[in-house]
Amino acid sequence: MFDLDMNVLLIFIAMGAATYFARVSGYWLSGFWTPEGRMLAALEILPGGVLMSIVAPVAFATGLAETLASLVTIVITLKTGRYFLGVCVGIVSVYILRSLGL
Amino acid sequence: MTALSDTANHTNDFQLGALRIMPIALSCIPFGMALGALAVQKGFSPLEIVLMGMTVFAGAAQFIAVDIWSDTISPLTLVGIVVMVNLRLVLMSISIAPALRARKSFATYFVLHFMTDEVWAICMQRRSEKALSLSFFLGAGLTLFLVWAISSYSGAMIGTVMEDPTTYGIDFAGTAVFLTLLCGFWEGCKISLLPWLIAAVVAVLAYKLIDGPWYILCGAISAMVVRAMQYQEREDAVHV
Repeated sequence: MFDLDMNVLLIFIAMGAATYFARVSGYWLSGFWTPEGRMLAALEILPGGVLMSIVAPVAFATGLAETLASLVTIVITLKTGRYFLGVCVGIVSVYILRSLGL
Repeated sequence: MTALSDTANHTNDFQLGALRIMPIALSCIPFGMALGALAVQKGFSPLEIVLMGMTVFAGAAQFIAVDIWSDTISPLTLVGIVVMVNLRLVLMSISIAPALRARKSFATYFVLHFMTDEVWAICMQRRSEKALSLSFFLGAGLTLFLVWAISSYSGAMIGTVMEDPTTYGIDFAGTAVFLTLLCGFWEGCKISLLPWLIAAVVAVLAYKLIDGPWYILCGAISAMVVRAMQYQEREDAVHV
């Protein structure tokens, strides 16, 4: 349970360092460069763009069960404003839809 | 140096940050558990998956890394893929920087380790109402950090007894979390519709055509390009 492979730990640290660098670099960059106008608009669309890109293959190109469950997740989240409920209903619907053979 | 009222504000802001992230942190529990379960199936120990969460602390990247992990894969490939998936953090960091710069505090470099998509989103929301404090950021970040560690550990413990996560729909947890987060970024048809649509189309195409997590970067960049072009049109309309 508490096994720890040193090589694995080193890879984690390398991945963590790379990620930390990504997190800090934008802050550091902003010391001499501030996005404005069109550049700012483009940066502001980024989170939506990233999230959409992450979900798109599963939501639109995996199967009918996944597509329908994605739709259900979005509708529940928007209607109730509750993230947790949206996620739970999403998981349950994908389970049900798959059992139905979709 | 710090006045009493300031200290009080720090505590309140820390609590508020923790409170605001809570519903999202709860939604991440199935995601963390799924990651833990998957990691155990890949041969990681529960301790290892918790340590991964603490060092990397980026759900999507961890999922992909665990997914492609094998004895033969080179560490360089793994780090490269993590960088690719996490490139968006550079842009998030740029966008949040003006709010943090005002503080000019060295602690920013500590707090930034806790910046995930979720924490970033909550902090940007906060910035639109009031000045963002490091306490708020840390409150949100640490809460998610703890929930992440606990849920991936529990998932790993459960994973040792669960055969296949797809049978329970748990593999959908990640997508569901990202979908609910996506809902929060909708800024109306004029701004969001076209960039999101193009991002989805490009991401699906790239997913089918290119191996690896490039599709995330391809989709995100196309959304930015579309938005930049849109913005110009809008400006012209205003000026003419």
